Amino acid sequence: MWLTMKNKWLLMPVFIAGIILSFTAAMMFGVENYTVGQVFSSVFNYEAGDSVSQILYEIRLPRVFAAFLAGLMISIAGLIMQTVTHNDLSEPSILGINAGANFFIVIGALLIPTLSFVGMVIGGFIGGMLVGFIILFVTRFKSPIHLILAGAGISLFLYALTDFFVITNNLGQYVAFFTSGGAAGVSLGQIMIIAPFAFVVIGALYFLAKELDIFLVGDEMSASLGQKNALYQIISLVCAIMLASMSVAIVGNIVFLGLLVPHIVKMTVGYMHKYTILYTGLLGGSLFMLSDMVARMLNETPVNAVISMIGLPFFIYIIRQRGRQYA
Amino acid sequence: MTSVKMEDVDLHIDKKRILNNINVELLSGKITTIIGPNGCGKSTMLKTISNILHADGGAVYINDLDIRQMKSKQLAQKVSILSQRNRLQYDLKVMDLVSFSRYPYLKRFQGLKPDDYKIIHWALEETGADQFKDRMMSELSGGQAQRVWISLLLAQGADVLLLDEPTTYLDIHHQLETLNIIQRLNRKTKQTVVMVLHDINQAIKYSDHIVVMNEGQVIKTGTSSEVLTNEVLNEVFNINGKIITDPVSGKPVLSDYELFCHTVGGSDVAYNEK
Repeated sequence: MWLTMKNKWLLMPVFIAGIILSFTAAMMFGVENYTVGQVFSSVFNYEAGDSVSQILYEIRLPRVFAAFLAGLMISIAGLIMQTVTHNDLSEPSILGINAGANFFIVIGALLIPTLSFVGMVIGGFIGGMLVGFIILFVTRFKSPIHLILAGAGISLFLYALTDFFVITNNLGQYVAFFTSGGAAGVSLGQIMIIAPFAFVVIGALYFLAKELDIFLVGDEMSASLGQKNALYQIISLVCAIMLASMSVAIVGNIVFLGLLVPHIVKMTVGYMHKYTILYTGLLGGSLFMLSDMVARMLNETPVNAVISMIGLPFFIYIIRQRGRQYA
Repeated sequence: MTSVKMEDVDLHIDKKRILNNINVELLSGKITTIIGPNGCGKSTMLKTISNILHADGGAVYINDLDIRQMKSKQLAQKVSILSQRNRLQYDLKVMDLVSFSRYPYLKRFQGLKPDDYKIIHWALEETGADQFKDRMMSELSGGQAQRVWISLLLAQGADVLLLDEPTTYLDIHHQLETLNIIQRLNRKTKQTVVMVLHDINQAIKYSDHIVVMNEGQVIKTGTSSEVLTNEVLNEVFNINGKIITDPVSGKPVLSDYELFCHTVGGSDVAYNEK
């Protein structure tokens, strides 16, 4: 299998090709379909007057970029959370990080109606961090079951609270978008704000690949190898929460992707982070571009519904396969 | 050669006293085995020496240096430990797993250098694990996996090896194979080995020095003939034993044993009440 392959970078061309193909497909298909020629001429030779160019360049391109970036961020966040919590089921939405980010963004928008996009991102980050550290202190990451229960509990509570504020303040329209998730309506400007931060954070995580690898041998062994477990756990978690909350700020709460993608990658190239971080990001970006495309083709079905159709069977598979060791 | 000394070490977990005023010096360059009943603090003692658990009274000294004053990587270059239950949550390639051993020597953001790989290959060859260095851990038998873990410890290059029940879950052939590897390496590299074993005869056969523990305290230390007495068997393990002297090695052998409570009528009731 791929797992015993000597040079795991050999898969990189496959992933790059995947990115290019899914980008092209995501640009071509949707409510209206266009040809490859139209896509490339509008992206590379944009003409202001042309209506096809306008739709492709000003509406679809930002949406596809947003999908790529969000898929990449949420998947890497999931990967890092799985590693540092020693838990195969960890993922931003399951741990309640997304709910925290979502709640703070809504509250922020409620208190400050003129809240800027950057303000929303910062609000989301604060919310994500709060939930992250509540869970850290409540469960100490000791038992996988506690972690999942705490995450689910906090998620339910925060979504209920969000709903309460939304209903009492008639914010329905605005917030429905966040909870159902979707890349529609993201501007290129917003992407330009997010992208540099995302790449700095991912770069930092990539520099920590060796430290993240050491987590794979378990807490005691890593301590005996001289790893400062708590320090790197917190640094990597903060990075993961930043990625997750930025993703919530542009596309809302995306489920399953952060679980699904890292597992596919780990089954393919193993667990070493110098490979998994990059492959997870690329695959997550591709998959989300495609899911968003399918959502558009199905009359703007919520993208979460599309992801769940693939994600749920996979989730059950993980529980059956990996859940045994927690019994 | 590295000396390990514990002075007045106390340790509590959830207000329960696990280690009670431990004073012990472990012979450098020799094999010391800790024996004692379940829950007497053997594993905790090893974890305290490697600073995975922190003593809340007293101190542990490595080469007369308090381990609390050492940086975590510096300590990892001096002391390595093989835990009792090394079940990997994730399936790793043998080579990748053993390469983690060099972590204490790497600066931040630094990768493995040719010298590190030389040491890793040497360690894999010493235990014979080089035959399956490209396989996944899940494909290995218990004995093979144990050789990989010992390679990891060797490549870590620490002078003190702490082995917590290195023979658990292995059949008798692989138990002896593992212990032979440990003994051979100790004779060759003069590392200080401290291990926990349950089999008293194996402890006698393979160690220069034996530490007997009970209820968080060190009861007795010394050579096997000094330590293995009927008094110790009665008090510590609650068993009666027949101790004979091996005519070849001159060491004591526990040739037969029986539960203490059966021979002394009525004490099994007292035992149950505990």
